[in-house]
Amino acid sequence: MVQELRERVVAEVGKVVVSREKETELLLVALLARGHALLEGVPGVSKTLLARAFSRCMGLDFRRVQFTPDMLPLDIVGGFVFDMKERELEFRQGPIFTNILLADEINRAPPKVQSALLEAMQERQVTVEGHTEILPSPHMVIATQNPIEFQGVYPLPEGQLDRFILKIVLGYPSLLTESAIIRRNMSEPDVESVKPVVSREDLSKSLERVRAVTVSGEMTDYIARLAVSTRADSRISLGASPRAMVHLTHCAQARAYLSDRDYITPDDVKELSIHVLSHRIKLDQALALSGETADVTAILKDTLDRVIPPR
Amino acid sequence: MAIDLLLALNAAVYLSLVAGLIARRRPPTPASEDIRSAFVLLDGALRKAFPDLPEGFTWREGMTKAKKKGLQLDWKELDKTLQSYEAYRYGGADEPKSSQSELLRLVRALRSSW
Repeated sequence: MVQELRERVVAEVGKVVVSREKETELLLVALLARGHALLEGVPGVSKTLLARAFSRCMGLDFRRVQFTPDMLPLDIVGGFVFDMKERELEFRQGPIFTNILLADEINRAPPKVQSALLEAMQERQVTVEGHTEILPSPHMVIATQNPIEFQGVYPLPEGQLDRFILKIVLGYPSLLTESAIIRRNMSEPDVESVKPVVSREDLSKSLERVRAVTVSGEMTDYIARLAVSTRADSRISLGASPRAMVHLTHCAQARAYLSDRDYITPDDVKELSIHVLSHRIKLDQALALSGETADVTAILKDTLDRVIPPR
Repeated sequence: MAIDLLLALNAAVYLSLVAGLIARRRPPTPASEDIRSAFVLLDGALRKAFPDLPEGFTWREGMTKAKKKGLQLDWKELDKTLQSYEAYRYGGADEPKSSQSELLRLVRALRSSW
């Protein structure tokens, strides 16, 4: 039944987004783990389309904000405006007050806007001048960003990247997929054709069940050993944080739930580690100068190959 | 007459030698008391059969590698055995009582490939 949920979501998103099954599943994992997702890729690899289609098929309230360099924090969280009729200040909610917020090109906004958004993501509430408002539940931010070497972008600081439960990198499609994309886009892709396939009731039940998935003591030890291993690696200057490992555990629970299991296995952890850790780890700058491989994914894979899981 | 007898004796000696060699090449099916010790046997067999398998391999990764070798085994049954072992090992389920014969056949098949 649970596997059916995953299949329904993947099939519905697949109506408009070609060959992004794995990425759709990762978005579902992030939502069920009560986290936020960061989609990274060059322009034109269907980041926005994927996020929009996913939001629609989950049947949740959705808003999209295009981030620009001239934005202010109140454009996201909202602020006080003067009500002429009542002659008093009233709080007007910003677009963050929704279930799924698509923060398009987040790294085009200046740091103070990014930090206002990311603070709300962490606290699940917004405080403006002493006035606090709770965000709707579930609440998920799907942010898209271009790789940092692109012009006019403000890279997200490490502390802010750490708030995203996982990063999904969208690469260029294969030759066959590209051909299918061109065929499908002969006419405008209609996101409106994506129908909600999950009810709010089913989703809230799923969110509860995910947290009840068993994580054995040996599995928490394994996850902790992975964290220590990233911190001890001389090629890494900033290893995985405790928050990262908590996020990894929650994602593993979500993956186990989607596979119709009530316990996590080392495969859940290994499968998700790269997505959960790659954006939080900082490589030693000297590594690039010495000519060694400076690829986070390869180094993380190396760590996963070294640390022995409970067998 | 004596030559015929000598030839027959010779043939018998050589046949027993060949039979002995074949028997040595085919390792006996290993025995295990419980599912945990069967998986310990599999661990050793996988490491020896696939020296490139990293230290941090999982059961599924090991089994996938063995499957790609094209071994003639009941892979559905093996998958079921692994699932029940995982539920016991990581999910706190009761120890599976099902037969481990297919798992032990896999161990034997891996051993004969060394």
